[in-house]
Amino acid sequence: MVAWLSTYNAALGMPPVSVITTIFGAFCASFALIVCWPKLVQNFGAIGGFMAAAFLVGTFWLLNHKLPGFGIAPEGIPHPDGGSKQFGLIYQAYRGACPWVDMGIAIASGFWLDSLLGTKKGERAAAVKESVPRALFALAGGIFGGAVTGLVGWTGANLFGY
Amino acid sequence: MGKKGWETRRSRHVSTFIGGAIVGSLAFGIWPEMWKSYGILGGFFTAVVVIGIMWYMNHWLGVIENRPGTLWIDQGLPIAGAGVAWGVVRFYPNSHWEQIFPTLICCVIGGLLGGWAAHHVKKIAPGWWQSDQDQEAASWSLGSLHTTPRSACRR
Repeated sequence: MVAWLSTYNAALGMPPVSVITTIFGAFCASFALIVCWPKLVQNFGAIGGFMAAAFLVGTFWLLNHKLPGFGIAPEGIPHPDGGSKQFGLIYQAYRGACPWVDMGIAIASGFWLDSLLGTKKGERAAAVKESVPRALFALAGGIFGGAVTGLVGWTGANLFGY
Repeated sequence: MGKKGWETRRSRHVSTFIGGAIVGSLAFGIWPEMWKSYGILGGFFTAVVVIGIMWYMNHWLGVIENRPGTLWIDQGLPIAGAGVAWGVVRFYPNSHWEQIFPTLICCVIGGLLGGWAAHHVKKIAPGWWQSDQDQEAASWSLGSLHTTPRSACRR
């Protein structure tokens, strides 16, 4: 079991243990946000949203996305087989030197499915069809914003040695 | 719906696009730097500042289009898209973008499981039984100032 969990499985593309941690981390974040966030907003108004951002997103960011750095093992605890230990529940491939997979996709898909299940059976197909363009525009906006933010490394500037 | 309706829908899509672009840019322009500079507390602080104010903009004020009775499009979606795009651009041409798919698929599976479980748990959790009036009575509301926009609060 232990050998299986820690064996890199080329078919999965990630260690089997990371499949478990990633699915569990995504489940926790998605479930807690869907259950708590709307109620916090209902009970506290807009302030509840800020509370939810701090308590829910802040906490689940730490659970799912923390990396070695200031505060946790700044040197990045080396693994005997090379590389450094994974800290967050959501696995980042290629030791983080590849595009970032954010727990936002888990939360967004969870909210989407929750509202889909809350829709009457006969109206679900129409609701899905209605949501697709909005989802695509939101996603396109995110891709645009992220790509532009990624461009800042390409300025060629050499500021303060960075 | 005439021309006006079409224009309204188009401007709503533009609004959604802008909201997604800003939240994606803020999340990945600020979060890594705050983490590198201030560690865990930097990450918490960024969650409050970035997610807090962007939730206020996108979901409380409704910049990302979510009309009542439609499926919820969360700002997590543009953030996730931004994370991938940011990495692709930043590490170009060695972005190894194909390596994200196992994690991405696991994330979506976990998220959908969470949504499914939350839907069923909300039916049995006592806090979700209460009528709106009971909720209002139990709430720390700001009296008449506290009016929750329907876009911000789904039941």
